[in-house]
Amino acid sequence: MPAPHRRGRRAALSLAVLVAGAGTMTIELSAVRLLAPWFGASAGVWTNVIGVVLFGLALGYLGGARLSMRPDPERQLVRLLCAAAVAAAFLPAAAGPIARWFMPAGVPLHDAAELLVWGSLAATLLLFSPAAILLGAVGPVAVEATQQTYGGGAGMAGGRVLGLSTLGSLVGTFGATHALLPGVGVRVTFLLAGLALFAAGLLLAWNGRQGRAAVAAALLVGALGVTLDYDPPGAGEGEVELAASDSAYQRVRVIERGAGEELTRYLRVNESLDSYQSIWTPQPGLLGAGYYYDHFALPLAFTDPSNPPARYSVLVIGLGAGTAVRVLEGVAPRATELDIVGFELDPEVVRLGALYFELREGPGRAYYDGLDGRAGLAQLERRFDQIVLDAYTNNMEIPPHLATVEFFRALRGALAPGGWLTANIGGFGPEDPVVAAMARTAAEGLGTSVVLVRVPFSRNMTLLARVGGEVPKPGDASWRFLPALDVLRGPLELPGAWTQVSPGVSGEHGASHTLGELLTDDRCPIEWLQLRSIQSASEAWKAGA
Amino acid sequence: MFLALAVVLGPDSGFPQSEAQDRTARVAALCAEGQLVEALEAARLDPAPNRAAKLEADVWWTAGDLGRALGAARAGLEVAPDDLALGSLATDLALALDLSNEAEHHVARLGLALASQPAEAPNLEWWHTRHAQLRAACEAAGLELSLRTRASVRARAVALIGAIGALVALTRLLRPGTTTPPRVIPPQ
Repeated sequence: MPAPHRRGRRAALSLAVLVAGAGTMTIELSAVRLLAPWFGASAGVWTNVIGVVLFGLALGYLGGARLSMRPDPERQLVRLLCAAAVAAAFLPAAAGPIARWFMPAGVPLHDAAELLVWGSLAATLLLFSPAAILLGAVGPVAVEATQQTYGGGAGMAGGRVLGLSTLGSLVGTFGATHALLPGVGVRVTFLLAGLALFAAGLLLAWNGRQGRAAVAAALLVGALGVTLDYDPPGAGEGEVELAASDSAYQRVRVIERGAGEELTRYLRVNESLDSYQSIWTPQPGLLGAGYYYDHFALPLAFTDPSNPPARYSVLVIGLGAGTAVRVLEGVAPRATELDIVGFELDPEVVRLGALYFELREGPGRAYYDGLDGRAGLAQLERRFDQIVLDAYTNNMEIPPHLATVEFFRALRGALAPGGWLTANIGGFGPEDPVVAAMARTAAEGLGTSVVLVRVPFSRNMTLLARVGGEVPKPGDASWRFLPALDVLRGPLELPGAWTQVSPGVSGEHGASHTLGELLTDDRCPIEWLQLRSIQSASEAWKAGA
Repeated sequence: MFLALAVVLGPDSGFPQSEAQDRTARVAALCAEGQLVEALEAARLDPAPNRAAKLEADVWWTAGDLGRALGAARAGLEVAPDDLALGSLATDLALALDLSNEAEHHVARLGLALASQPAEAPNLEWWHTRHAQLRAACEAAGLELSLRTRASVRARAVALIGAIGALVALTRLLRPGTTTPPRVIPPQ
């Protein structure tokens, strides 16, 4: 039986390996959230973070192999853990200055593509590669120390270290996503990761009676990191931040601007750039030029004023804080009773919607948070007069599974005869790669023609479709507007404002129109199309499109 | 927008005032009524190409299509490069579309056009003030663009240097012959 002090050393060594694994995954999974207020959390940012961490780990493994040949591997281990703890503790404070260096304030969305890709890569390199290298080096040194402590061959020691490290990684993976980030926020998550690494180093130093200088140095320097704040972008000039929180999915902020009738609240997520997820004004109804939400009222605008529907059911996929609901509530004819169901993936958004955007449940209003739009759709057994599709992730990315022909087929099944689909698509015109692909895919999935409408003063298009009916066109007898909604008519009648895309064929007022890609569950390169969309936007404007 | 156009369509516009003002008022009224197709037709029927361009740009502006509004203003400047109102409008639109290089081009041309105006030209002081405002806005936009460009260059440089540094480190760490022979550890 090993002596008690040896048992303590073994336990400390095992714990160090376990904590290093947990720390690695906690830092990796929280890295995107740390950068999200500047660069978002798109697949590109995730790829950069994972790539940099993997490269850092590779360097760390090789460097650790050299380090393991030095005397006293436990002392090296203490140093590595303490240095990694300091690196983790400084990450929240360093994120702001480094991110702003690569992503200055006020960058418009259409100019952001390059900065989002290269900026996030550069910031990730500077911020996370030190911790990844240090934590990668823990492995080989721990193998050496394990072999010296336990004896046996390299395979035995390597297997033990890999096993414990992977178990630690599991703890870090689930703990960061499901407990730490939503529970204590980004800053405290990194500080806790640093604290755990430091504690592991301290325990090892305590039991091995070596590396205490490294512990003392880490304590001093790490404490400085703890005192520094994480400063993600807050309210701009003339704005007040009413609330800010880290949900399980994103950083969410409620920003208020103006006063009286001009009072406006915005729900912004992550980097937001010059966009927002939801908006609230004191009066329900149309928001005015530049707000795509107003186009969700177009199906109601086309109703016969002498015979409004008694009941009108709407499903909102991508409820946000309820802006679409508020627009419809404000414009529906008095004789029409609205019955609205909403799906929103992020419960925090719905909570803030109830607090600051008058999003209230009650008779005729059922909102399901934490529910993905497609999964929710599969559970519904009823049909709707209108489906509003406004689901986005990371401000500007349409979730791939909500952009496929199979999804649009499911939407068709949830629409009542003559029912409408109104979808918001971020894009710069009917030729935009995202818009063209979504239009073609929707037309194929719904089995009917869809109409693309340019939203004034914005970079959005509205997709309109009617299952078992025709979307009225300028000049048709059915091209009539409720008086309260007539303000929407003028811009729609101008040349180029209105484009029809039919299954297999498309055209703008009869002219040819580029057919977009067909998106399927099997192949849906929507993120690639979105990047192309942003990159081509400036050129299109420069050409005077 | 139409108020601004009414101001800039002052006596310097070179058209009979009543005709110019009537057409401007008619297009403005049609826009206010949401009759944008009719407004566009009325604007395009104007016999003076630069005034037609200004009115057309205003209709597109009202419709919220700033790209086409800028296109109309550009077309007007092709035929009347010294038109102060068109120069001002094109600068405004380019700024709104975040095309700071184009905005600087328009504001520079506006400055030249303004310098060539006779001293007794009407509204000259107003135009000088307007030009100064636009120039300041262009400088601010140019500064923002330069910040973005510098940030982009920095990001690429850091990424490149980081990648090269990591590859060099990787190569050195993988180099054969630098690893010391394995030590035999006696079992404890």
